[in-house]
Amino acid sequence: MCGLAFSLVALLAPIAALADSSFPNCDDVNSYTNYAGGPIGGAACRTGNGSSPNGFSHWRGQGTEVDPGERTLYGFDVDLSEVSANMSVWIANSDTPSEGDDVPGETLCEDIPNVGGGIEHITLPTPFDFHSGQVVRLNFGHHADCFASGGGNIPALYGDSGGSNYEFKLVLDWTPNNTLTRIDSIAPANNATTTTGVAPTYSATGYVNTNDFNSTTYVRWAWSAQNLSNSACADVICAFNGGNGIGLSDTNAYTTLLTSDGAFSVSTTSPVILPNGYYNLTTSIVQPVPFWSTQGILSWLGFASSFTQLVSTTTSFAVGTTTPYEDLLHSTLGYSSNTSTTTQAVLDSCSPLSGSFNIGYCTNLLFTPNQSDLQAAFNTVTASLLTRMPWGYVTRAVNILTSSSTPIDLPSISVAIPISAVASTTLTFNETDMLNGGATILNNATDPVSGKNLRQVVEPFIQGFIALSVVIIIFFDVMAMGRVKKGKR
Amino acid sequence: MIVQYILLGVVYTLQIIFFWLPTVSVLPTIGGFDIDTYLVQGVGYFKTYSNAVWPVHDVFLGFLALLSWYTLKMILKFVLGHRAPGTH
Repeated sequence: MCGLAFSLVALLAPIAALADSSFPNCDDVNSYTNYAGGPIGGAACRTGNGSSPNGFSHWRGQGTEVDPGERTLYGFDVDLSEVSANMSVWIANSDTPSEGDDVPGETLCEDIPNVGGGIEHITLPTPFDFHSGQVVRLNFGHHADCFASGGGNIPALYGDSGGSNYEFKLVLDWTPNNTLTRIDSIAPANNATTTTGVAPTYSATGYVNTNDFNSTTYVRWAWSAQNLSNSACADVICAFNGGNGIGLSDTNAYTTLLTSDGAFSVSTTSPVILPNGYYNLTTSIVQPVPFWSTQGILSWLGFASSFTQLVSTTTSFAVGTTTPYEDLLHSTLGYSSNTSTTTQAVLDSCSPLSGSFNIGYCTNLLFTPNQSDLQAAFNTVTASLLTRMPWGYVTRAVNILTSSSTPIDLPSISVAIPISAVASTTLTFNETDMLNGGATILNNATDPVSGKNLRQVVEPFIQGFIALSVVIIIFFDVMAMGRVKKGKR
Repeated sequence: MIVQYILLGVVYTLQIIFFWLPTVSVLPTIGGFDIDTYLVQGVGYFKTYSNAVWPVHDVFLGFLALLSWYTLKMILKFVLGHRAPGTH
């Protein structure tokens, strides 16, 4: 008998667990005393309640999550089995990092149908974005309160005001937190214009993953003039090299040390006032390389950067007013596709009657091709000329070898092994699985000291050996060039 | 402006000269042997193999570097003729 009961319990336990699987660990989190603190996002659930369960005139529930990171809320599951009146949810984000006195930023009011119907999945009509550093608030309340005064805040009820408590349960449907090392925004923004005579302020927001971070992680802004005439550098080499220079703090680069991993928001002011014109701005997250490393030694000689670049993005900004030639150069470099002003710029610069006549700009405008026209010509050649027979076959072969072919699983090998005089068993070897499995095992085995796997340890040596071999072969080939061949003078 | 007009002129001229040539999008089949399919499959196998056995990728890059050097020498010999280094 006891055994039978035990079997029944064992049989029913998974079913019971399945029934409550939408709200894991609901019983042990967040009983309603104060809604401040405690996560409501992710897989956790939130229990809430309100007063006067049968009146609903002032039924309230609120949850707040402080800084969930960069996420998008697509919807939520809510258990409405104990709620019997129309409800709405008011969702807000706020840049004020404290609960209670936060000022709502963007808000959304959404009806919750089918109250009393058990667990409902509510999909928001438009995904709601939350950014790092923001407070997230969800208030559940009476339908009329939510839409009153244009969807304002539902007054939150902190604590029990005397009615019988009941619970609602909530699981938010977040996107996974984006923890990739990245740059989210830059200032000056791409194609923005800054004020003449004022040193521009550079700023950046983004995120550094824990695994990428160390104590020498910097945000680096490097800028260079698109036109030599507006270069802030003292010499030509500086003008060409400064924006993407090889030093951590070149003449035209400025760095800010990041003090911790995770989200960052940093800014600095350019140490120089830039002359009018267009500038390229390369914003990157960098780490200096050890001076004794191969890259470090090469950087002494000017052959390599003295830092490793984790992520980088290049934008462009203008200072003050720009000349027609600079506008064209800006377009030619691909930062804008404004061709409509090109003809007018030529007319203005080349006509002696024009107020902005400039023979230098005129010549440049006449002979410098526009980026979009060059691209169009290249596309025409690629599409209509390089596909003609017979050289079209070469184009196709190059396409296959470079980009158009995708990895294909290696063929399986089947072997029939006789197990008796009349029977055999067939063994099939999946080569792709075997190769990938072997590679996975090797990659998972790590050096206990450095934490690097076999590939990270061995690959630099293999690459160095191959590079050295190629250099030696070419070196001896060059040395042999000057020799007089046997039998010839 | 002038350069882009010249460029467009060259492109249109080439299109007129070669308009009669047929356009090809795949490699030919010779004697029942579909070169295009087999090349796509072969390169696909190689990519799978080199993804798992990563040193192959480095060896391949080294081979390409060497091939570039020999191509450069061939171009020099073609352009300079007997005046190219090592040809006399």
